[in-house]
Amino acid sequence: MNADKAGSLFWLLVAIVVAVGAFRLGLGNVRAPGIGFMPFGAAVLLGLLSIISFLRAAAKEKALKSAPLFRGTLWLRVVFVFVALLAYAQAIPLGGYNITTFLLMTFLFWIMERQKVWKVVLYALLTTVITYYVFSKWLNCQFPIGPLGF
Amino acid sequence: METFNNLYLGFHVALMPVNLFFCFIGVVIGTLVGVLPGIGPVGAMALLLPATFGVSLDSSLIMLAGIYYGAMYGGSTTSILVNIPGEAASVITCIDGYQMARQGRAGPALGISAIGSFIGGTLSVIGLMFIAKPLANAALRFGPPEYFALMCTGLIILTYLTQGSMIRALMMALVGILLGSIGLDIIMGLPRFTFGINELTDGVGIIPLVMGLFGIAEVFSNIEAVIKREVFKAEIKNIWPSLKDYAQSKWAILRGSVLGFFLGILPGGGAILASFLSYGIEKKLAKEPERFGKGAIEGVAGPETANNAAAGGSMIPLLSLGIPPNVVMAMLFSAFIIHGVTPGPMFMNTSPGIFWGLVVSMYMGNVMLVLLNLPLIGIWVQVLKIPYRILMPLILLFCLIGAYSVTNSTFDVALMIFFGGVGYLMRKFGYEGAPLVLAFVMGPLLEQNLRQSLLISGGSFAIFITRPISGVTLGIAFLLLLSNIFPYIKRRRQEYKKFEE
Repeated sequence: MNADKAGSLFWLLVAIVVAVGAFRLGLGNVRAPGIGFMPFGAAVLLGLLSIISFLRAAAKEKALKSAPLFRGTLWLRVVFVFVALLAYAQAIPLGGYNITTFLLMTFLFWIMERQKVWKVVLYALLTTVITYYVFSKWLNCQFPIGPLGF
Repeated sequence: METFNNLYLGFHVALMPVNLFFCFIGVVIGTLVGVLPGIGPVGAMALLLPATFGVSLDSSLIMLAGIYYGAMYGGSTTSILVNIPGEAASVITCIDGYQMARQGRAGPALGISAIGSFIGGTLSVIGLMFIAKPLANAALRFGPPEYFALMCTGLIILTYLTQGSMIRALMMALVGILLGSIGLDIIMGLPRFTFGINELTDGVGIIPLVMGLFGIAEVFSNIEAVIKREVFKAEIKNIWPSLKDYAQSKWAILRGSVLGFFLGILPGGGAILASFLSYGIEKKLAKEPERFGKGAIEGVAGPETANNAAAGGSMIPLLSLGIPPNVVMAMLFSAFIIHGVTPGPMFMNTSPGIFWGLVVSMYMGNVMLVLLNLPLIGIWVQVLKIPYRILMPLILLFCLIGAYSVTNSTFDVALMIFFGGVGYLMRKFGYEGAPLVLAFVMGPLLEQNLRQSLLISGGSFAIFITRPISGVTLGIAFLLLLSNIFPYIKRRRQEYKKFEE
């Protein structure tokens, strides 16, 4: 299955799920539309367009062979960064801004390009300290405090 | 006389030290994000929106507008010197700008780009002064059906002018409407699609959404590829174009100003379309079109003027109708809403100081940009040398801090990262983020006007056709949709005929 068809099917699935959800919320009637009225209409239209898009992709598929989307890219790096960012969002209330940000930045500087360890640590430390002072002390952002009190 | 009184009021507001400061900050950040590939004006505006919570509405609008037109200025620098557009509206500048740089004429290319941008920006602000008020007065007669029709047409024009498939753009607009419907229902106050998550009761925040789709996703797209940038090493000696350069560029600048201004007003038009069309027109009108692509100065002057003129033009629908015509204006719209002010026909009468202050600040901003971009071009070239391995983690960290600082909630951070992943996949699969964000912002208004219209008409959809303004507006939208279908049917018929033969 090519990317266009996969994308269309995904949005069709989203449209079905939302349409069912909106229907359950209550559509009301045209004189007094309910809270599900607009999302239901939008989901139905999305579903119809997804089907058209799928059919067009299927018709084109015979004529054109598209290259795989992720071939020749560093997509695994994107996955690692994505997971690291999600872990950061979970860890920051527990570890506090300074510790978690230092760990995240160390990882990010390291994964972008292999560099000497002391350089990576220095960059991460500088970024953490500077952003902490600029945003927390100067702009009064309320960062989470870690177990060590900072 | 009224215009002069209003201008006086505008100068009074814009020349306040705090507003001058925010204008300067805005244009500096705008130029910076324009110069740096990786984060555009939308991402930067989303990043700085939380920082404006503590300041007055006029100051925050002045700063956010400054980021927009500053980015238009800054975007040309990377196009000319590195052949990588710092901003989507400067893509076309690469063609002749980079060729000029290779011929040792980087200075005049940067110079004419800044001068054209200044003229285009200033003329569009003058246009804004004269058009916004009459349009706002006309809009006072609009009711819910007219607003619904205008918003629908705006979204359809946006999807029509999109770079990729119109069907996909329409799909993204519908996804935006669905995302906008998350949270409390606007009329009955009941929760909708919140899945029992308390944080979703207020709906999906514009900041996590925009930062995810435009900031995080941009970084993801950059880090999956190995990009090596080479800044053009030739010394930039003289930034002032010669008399011959001026003579060749003057009509391109004038045409670019008019074209950019009117395309800016058009929903979905904006700076990108203006720059592409300006290039096409200049090439068509040129006595020697073969010079284009080989370093023609008109190929730099026209598009750069047009994209700045469009920045002023796109303020008109937002300020006079309350309808953001593109995704950047959607961010300004959010700033209005955050400060409890609704832009629209009444805005100019109820808050003349803010409106005219914003208009005059754009003059000020244009002057600041010329001063920033011409004598200080060397500094911006140095900024270009920041390596990706440093830049990308920093952009990610700023996005994380920006999302967290809005509500001090890690939920918004996680939501932004999620939208970052979605945005990355959307780019891979060829779906655009702009229609989604614009529809997300307009969704609640669209729903409110639809439901009010149906309540007024007693459930009859005929209200949208029988009222002249909404009827004509929806007619235009319908024709646009048809114009996209007819070529497809024609092509299929031809294929069928061939098959029969």
